[in-house]
Amino acid sequence: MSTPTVIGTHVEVRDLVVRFGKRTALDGLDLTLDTGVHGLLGPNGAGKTTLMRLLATVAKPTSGTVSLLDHDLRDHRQLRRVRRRLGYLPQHFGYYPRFTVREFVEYFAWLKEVPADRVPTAVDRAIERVGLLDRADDKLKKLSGGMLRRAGIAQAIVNDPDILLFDEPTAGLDPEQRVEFRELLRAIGVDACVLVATHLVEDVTAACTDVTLVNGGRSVFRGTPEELAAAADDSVGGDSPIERGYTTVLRAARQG
Amino acid sequence: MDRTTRRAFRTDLVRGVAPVAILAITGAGIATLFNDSERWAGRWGPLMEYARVIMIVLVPLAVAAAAWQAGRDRRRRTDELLGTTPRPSWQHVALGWAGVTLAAVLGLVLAWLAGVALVAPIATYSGRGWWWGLAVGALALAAASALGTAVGRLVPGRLVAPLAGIGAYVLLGIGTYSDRLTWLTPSFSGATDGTRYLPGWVHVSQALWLAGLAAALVLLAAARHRWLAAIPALVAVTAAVPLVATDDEGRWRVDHTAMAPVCTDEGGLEVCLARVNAFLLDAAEEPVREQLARWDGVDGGFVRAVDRVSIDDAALAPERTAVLEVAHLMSWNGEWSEESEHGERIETVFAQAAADLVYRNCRPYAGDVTAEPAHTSMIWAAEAAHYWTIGETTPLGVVVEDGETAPFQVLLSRPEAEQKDWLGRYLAAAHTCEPAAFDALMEELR
Repeated sequence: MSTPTVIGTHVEVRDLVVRFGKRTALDGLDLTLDTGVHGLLGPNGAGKTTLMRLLATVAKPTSGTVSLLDHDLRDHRQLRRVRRRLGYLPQHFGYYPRFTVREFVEYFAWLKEVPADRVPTAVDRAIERVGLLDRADDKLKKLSGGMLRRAGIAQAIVNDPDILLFDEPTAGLDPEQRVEFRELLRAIGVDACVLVATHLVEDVTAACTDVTLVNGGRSVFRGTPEELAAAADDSVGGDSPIERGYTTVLRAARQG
Repeated sequence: MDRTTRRAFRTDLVRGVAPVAILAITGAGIATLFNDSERWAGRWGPLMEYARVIMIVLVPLAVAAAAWQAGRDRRRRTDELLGTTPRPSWQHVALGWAGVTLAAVLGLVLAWLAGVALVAPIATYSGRGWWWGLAVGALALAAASALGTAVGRLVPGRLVAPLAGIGAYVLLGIGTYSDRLTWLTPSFSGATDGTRYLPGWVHVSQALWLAGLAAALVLLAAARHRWLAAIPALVAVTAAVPLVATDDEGRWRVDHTAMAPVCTDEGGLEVCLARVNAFLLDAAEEPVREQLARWDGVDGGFVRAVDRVSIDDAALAPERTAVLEVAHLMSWNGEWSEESEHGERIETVFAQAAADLVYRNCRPYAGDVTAEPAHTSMIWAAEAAHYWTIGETTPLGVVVEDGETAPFQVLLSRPEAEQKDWLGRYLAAAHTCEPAAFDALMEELR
């Protein structure tokens, strides 16, 4: 495990507004994240993926500010520095089916400008951390959906990022793989800022140090998973305290 | 280039469209090159020129391959992930472009090497500056790959790659029909006989035009500041100006070394081929000399046969010289052909030389072969000499009405001494071009 390289705020979002035509995806969102594993919850259309794409530097805000690792993303040189320290697994993960796992991760190490002397070790380590070392020389087109997802995670972590963004990372993973993935998240979260956007509240309970709930493009809750569970109204439906807490907060936000 | 970049390039090369492109371009290159191998076999210059002729096929293939490679990120939905990485996107795009370019150039080189097998073992002239033409061909494939890359990056759709290839084929086709624009295309409309070469400034201008074009297109496809493409585009346009502003005569130069006659003389009968065709001399010597021997006893008859490409102007050929189109008797592998695929034999080539005396010296059509000849007896006499040289009373392709006898048949039916007497007077008439002399010759054959 590498030593933390960031002292201070990893992610700072202020009064963030994103509009697509007449639709407002994010509406004055504020968010501050530091080291740890952070959950991002919310219903469909709440703005989770829009926020992830902004933090991944592939989208730009309509207004407001986004600062990553204390860098201003409007400056091209600072943006490039941030990208070297960023890992991202999008919801719809694209890949090159004829590449092997090792070639794919190595290619992204090149794209992420990992120093050449560190690449072989970094690639092996990333593949090992996602448990694909025995399939490293298999082509991606031969892998199952879960394995592909893990190859996607490997490319995201190959540069030992300080900010790691996972959009629905456990989709396609079986229960055992999800448990292993949560362990990986906890390990990475010791010295990096990991943001996990998900629909699966049990992932948040198991792996996240805190959780942000967004609705209608705004943050409606920020606290620990336990605090979200404690917010539950026993009269609302749900199989677990955190599910009930999620539903309670969401309904309150809609009524308010 | 560091180790990681080399590895990324290798991966792109091996896992991308490049392996298919190498196979397609090599295969298409060899097939089209060998379709007309008699036009370049044994000669380095024409081999290069024909390698440029087949660019009309290779360039569209390179365009299509590069467009397919450049469209990969869109097809595989990796653009979003790539957008989060720090490496400037032009480097990723350039890697794909370089891979397809390498594949296309390898395809061209492999096809050319296959052609070398029919040149290197027999060539009698090393040629002049042809390697620059080949290098420009490689640059043309780099520009084609850049065009495909730009199209594939900027235009979405799975059909873009094949359509870009077809579009390139059509554009090249149109370009090669224009005397001036054809010099902006990498494709030659034909190959010379090996006695012409392009001066250095043409190769340099074409190289700058194509390199500038390639750089401009790659920058246009991927640079963060696309206006930078204007700089190489300016270089390309500047280099293109002299190419389109010069007429054809200003481009091709005569290679007197290639034309220099290489001769063999036996018993007073001389056979001379141009140095560029001299690899045929050993095989040509005997059949040509047999033809010359037939004119023994003819007053003013041929005692020398020369390759047409060894002289600037056939009209200036020495007395008693048959000017032969030797290239017509070159086979697909550069050997002497007893009979070409068009039915040409040494007899027919020699016969043409006998008839050409009249056409060249007397110009019965006055330069317009569609017009009625001023003196039909000239034509008939030339035809009689032509068929006498072939020596067959019923040659292939000649139709004589039942009950009639063609003049050449009358000639061939006469005793040999009379035949040779007639031919002596024919040769004399071909020098004076007196219509009355031809009228008298034909009167004898009625």
